[in-house]
Amino acid sequence: MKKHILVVDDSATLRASVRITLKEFGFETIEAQDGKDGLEKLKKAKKDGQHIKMIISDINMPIMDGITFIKEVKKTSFKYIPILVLTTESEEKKKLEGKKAGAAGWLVKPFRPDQLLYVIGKFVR
Amino acid sequence: MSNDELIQVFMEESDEEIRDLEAGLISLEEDPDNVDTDNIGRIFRAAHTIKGSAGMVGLEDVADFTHNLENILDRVRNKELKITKNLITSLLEAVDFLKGLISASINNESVDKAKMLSITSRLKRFTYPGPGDKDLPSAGSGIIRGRSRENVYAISMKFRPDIFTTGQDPLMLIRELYSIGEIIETYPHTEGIPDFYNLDPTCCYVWWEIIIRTEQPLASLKNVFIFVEDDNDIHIDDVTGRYLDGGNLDLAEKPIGEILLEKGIIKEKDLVEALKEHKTTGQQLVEKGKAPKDIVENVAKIQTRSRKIAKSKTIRVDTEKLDKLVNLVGEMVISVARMVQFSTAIKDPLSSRAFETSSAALERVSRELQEQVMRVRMIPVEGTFNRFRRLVRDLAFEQGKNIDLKMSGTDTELDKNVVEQIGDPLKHMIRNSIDHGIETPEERKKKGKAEVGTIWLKAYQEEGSIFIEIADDGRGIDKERLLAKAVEKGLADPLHQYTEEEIFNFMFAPGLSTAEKVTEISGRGVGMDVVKKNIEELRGSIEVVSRKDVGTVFKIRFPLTLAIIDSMTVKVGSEVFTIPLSVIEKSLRPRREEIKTVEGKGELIDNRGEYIPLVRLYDLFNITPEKTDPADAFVVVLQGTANRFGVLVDDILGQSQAVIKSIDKNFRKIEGTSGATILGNGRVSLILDIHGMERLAFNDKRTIRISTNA
Repeated sequence: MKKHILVVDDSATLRASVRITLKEFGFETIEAQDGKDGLEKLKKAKKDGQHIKMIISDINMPIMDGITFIKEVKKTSFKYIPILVLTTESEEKKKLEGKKAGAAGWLVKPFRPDQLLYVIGKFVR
Repeated sequence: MSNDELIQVFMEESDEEIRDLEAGLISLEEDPDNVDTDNIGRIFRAAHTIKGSAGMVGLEDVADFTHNLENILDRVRNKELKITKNLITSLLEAVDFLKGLISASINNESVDKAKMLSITSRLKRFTYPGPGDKDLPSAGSGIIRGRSRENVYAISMKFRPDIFTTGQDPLMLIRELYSIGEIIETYPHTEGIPDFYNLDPTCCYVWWEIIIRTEQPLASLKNVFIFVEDDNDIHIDDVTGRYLDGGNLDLAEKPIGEILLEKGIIKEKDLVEALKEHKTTGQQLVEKGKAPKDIVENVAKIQTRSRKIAKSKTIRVDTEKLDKLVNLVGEMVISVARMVQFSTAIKDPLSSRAFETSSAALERVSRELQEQVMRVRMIPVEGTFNRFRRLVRDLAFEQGKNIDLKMSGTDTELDKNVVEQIGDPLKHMIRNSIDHGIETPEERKKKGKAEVGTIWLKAYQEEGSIFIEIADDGRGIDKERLLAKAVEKGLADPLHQYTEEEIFNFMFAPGLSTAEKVTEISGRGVGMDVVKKNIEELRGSIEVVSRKDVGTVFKIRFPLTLAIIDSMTVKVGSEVFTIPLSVIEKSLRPRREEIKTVEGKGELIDNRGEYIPLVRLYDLFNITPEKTDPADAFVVVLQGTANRFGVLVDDILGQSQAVIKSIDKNFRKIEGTSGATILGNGRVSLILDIHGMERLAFNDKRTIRISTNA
């Protein structure tokens, strides 16, 4: 079974870089442009029988921001999926906010592929 | 300067730096024990320059990749990272990749990203968490660097019951711990699990105590818990002090019930109840369902291990204290022996017998005490022997030879001094065996030998001595060539018929091995004379036996103890000399007609057809004897390394034990003696040194006047 990871970010470059990095390690990425899109992709994945192992989400996004997205996820049966929030150096507060909302961890942008893999390795085997 | 030109400069520069890197790393691998700081500095600078230059020309991939290399080398340079084969292999692999990466980046070719990542992550394992990785999720703790020694940490992990809804899984954390170090004890606390009807399967009821041993810094341990430490109860304590030698020594002595109680697995009243019955505490607690069976068994297992470690627990003692102890016990043994002699002075037969019985008991106890004290100073040769595995492997590889090193008797114990100092001479001999003894696989095949050569390193105890043997099944020593060389160097008489033993002994002659050093291809021929000298300084002796194309055996013999010797006391004039029993073969009183004088060889004793050179001790030490005629006196026959000879003495006084005192420390070195001892009557007696006497009597004939008295 493929290991699916949901990437929620409005930057296509970031989504692509995560996709390329993870592909080499046997992960399949599902991409969403914002929180709302993310929730829809979660539901769609479930319908398609895909098992999402982890969610990587940005904080600042149009339509639905990351914190709201996490809170929404925690209301559903997807709440056990670990969520990693992507923050920038200047968003120290957001990190804690995400944590409070139910994120499992965080990663500071810009990150290197090995850092991403290290953090994912904490949650997904 | 155009961009192309800049790239050209960079290419040339990096080529050169990479060559430095490679050469430096290879020499590091060759001699990892002897870290040359200049070399490491050079390697580090090479990586540093490549990184900087790559950044200048905009090759970010190269700069990033080299950054990892630089990090590791920086830690090696600061002695924070041990040089292992694994490390060097990884570094060389990275350098290889770097070469390709540079040319690919310059020519805009695609780079094998997957390979780069895998190499990078392998490198990171050595630096992790590297000082340059400040953008890694920080655990909010300072990075502790420079720890390569092992520490033991006790980790207690209590999680909020709804931990799973945060996407966290304690199991993943425990798995991560396994990747950081060796988990030596685990105590899962299951007492919080409610009964089945109240159980919420989405909650975490269990908490853990884990003891982990790791070389990694505390920061890596903290990184495991980085996402859970804020809202869960995580404690990490350094308990290295309690876990000396890798086990908890505290546990060894404690009853199992107490340990379970301390760990919070049972309650005190459970223990009190269990103690009332006559089964083992653990058994009852399990039967009563107070403690899970697997936990009790686990604790018992850990306790058994701790007991084992506690049993062989060691303490460190200053060797100076030990030496004093050895000396004192030696003095005591001699005083006791002296006292026993007085038993004859007691006239009353009844008290005389009582005295004899009790003094015999005292004598026995003091001898036993002496033996035990000696044993304290002894350590196994294992550590010294094991060092040679790498040497043999590396040298064999270097010379394209297949060599198997076989060891036996590594638990044989020798005086600490000897074990510490025997390393160099052994290394020389093993080197010689590899360089000159063992042939190349092709050569061996041609000779019909197994392609893999063997070097044996043996230690064993025999006849009150410790033997160390270095043997190889190589080409052996060419007797004719050796003798020819000895003649050439003026060490041997071309007309004389030498025995095999005598020929082999030329190997240890000073002039000879120096000559070999120059002619040998390897340029590493080490003076065997130095080896011999080193061994003799440790009161050992060495002999060699060799057969062409079969192999060579070096046999080193050491006395069991260094401070006390069994000896014979002899009298010459008014002097009393002590001769170590180990070198005495026999004593005899020759008949007058058995004494012959041979031109150029001095006096010989015809001992049943065997001619033994005679050395007059009074001549050697320039004293006035009572007897000059061997037929009136005694001849003690000694076996030296090269010569067997008789020493003429006035009288033999008897056997005793002698505590060796150094005279060169208190007076000056006296040629032909190895020290002094104090006799029963309080007089000082010089201890004859067989090797020194041999030198005096045979190697330097000019200074010895050969008596013409027949």
